[in-house]
Amino acid sequence: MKQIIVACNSGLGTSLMIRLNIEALMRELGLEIAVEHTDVTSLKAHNAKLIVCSSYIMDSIEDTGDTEIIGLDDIMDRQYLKHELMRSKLFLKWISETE
Amino acid sequence: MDASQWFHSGLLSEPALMLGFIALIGLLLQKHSAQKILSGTIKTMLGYKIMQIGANEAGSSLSNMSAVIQNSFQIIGIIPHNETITAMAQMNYGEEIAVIMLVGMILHLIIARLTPAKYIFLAGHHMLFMSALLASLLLSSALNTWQTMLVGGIVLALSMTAAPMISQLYVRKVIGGNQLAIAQFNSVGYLLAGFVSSLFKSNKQTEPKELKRTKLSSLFQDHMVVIFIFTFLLFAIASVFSPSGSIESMFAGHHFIVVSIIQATWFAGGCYIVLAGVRMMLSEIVPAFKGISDRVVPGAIPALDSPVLFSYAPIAAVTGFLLSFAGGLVAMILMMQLQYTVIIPGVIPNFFSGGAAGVIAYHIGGKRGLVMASLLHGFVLSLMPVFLVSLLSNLGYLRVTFADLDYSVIGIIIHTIVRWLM
Repeated sequence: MKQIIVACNSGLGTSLMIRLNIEALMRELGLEIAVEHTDVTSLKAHNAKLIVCSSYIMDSIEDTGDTEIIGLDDIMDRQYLKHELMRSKLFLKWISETE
Repeated sequence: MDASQWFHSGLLSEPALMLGFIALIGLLLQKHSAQKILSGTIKTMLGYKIMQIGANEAGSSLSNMSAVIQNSFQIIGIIPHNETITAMAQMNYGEEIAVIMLVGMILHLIIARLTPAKYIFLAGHHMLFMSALLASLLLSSALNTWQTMLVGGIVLALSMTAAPMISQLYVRKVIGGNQLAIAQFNSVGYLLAGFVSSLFKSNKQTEPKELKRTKLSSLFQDHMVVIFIFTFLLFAIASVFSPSGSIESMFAGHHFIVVSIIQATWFAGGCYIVLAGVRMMLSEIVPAFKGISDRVVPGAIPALDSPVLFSYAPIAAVTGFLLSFAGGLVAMILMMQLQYTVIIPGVIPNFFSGGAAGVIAYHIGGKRGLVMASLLHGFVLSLMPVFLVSLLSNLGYLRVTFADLDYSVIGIIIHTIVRWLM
């Protein structure tokens, strides 16, 4: 499933803002990718393949090997977000499948 | 039954429906698909119900904890935790809270559209907490339901503009511009931290060194684990000081360590459910609010949750959190000497508010500013809610209260004004 999980400490503020930004970017790029936001505690249950978060919580996310984690230094800049997503192998694969 | 009766007896009297209605309007305005509109509306109502369920569980454990604390120390220990107090306040005042939030959001957009204060307050959970405070506070001051909804909505809208504006005095210096602001009701705390820290500015005029972007220690990131450890320690410490045999007699003969573990999982579990409910409830309302504000307020400055500051100086954020908590412990010890009601410093408010205050203090006044400002910030953060507790007496004998500084400050100001007018 093409899904991006966004995480932050409580899953209330920062993660929702990043989610809105990603959703806007997906519309811009014409991609059908589901985006959900959650807290660090429940992150594992989502079995995510691509996780986006604020860079300062990167350490607390367990890297299971087959998961790609993107840590953002700036959560509002859409160009920067796009640039970071484009470095993800999984995301590029999703784009190529859409085309 | 005519339309207004239906509206009043059906929609307004049931907050879950009211919130579902707000979400429905938001989803319609954004022209989503029928499926999305249906699921979004249902999930908003579901989120409200989930929050109620969590509040029951967290509340049961809290009353056990306060019984143990009272038994051991002969004090009433009150924990500042926004999520729990809000979830409890909505049990009595759900409809007022929902309407205050709606009125507040609309007026806030009007303020941003018509005045130069272009801040858009995007932390939905803080809107909800402030609505809960205002509903509880105004109904305690003998205002009726309609007055409470109107006055509450106006005060909420004004504070949603004022909080980012006040913190921006110092936040601007941290982020180097006006591209974003902070939406957290701790602006008085940030002002305090920034001001105290500016007294320690070194004369050498060295710019604070660009800190390497190191990551925050992962120990404090998982908040459910943090809440568990904190509650466990509180229970265990209180049990150690309890008269011998009293814990066993209170909890069916269980050893106090077992009791502490069970109670800590109970409270953290309740908090987790509350959090999940709030998240589900707001994940449709906040995007709609942002979508509308993008259209009607050109040049808006988005005001975001405080952790946005953490990445500007992660080490200062951790230091600020720990020192703030230490300052809170000092305040607690002081209160224990003076009176019966004691605020037990909460980990979560010290993490969010203390952390952001630490980042601000470090940028303004370097290391010395960080240490002094954080300690003082934590002291005030844990001291102020004690003045708020008595103003919320009609919520019943709750052992939990609102945490961040603006809640106490606005609570005291509004209470004073209303008393003076009535």
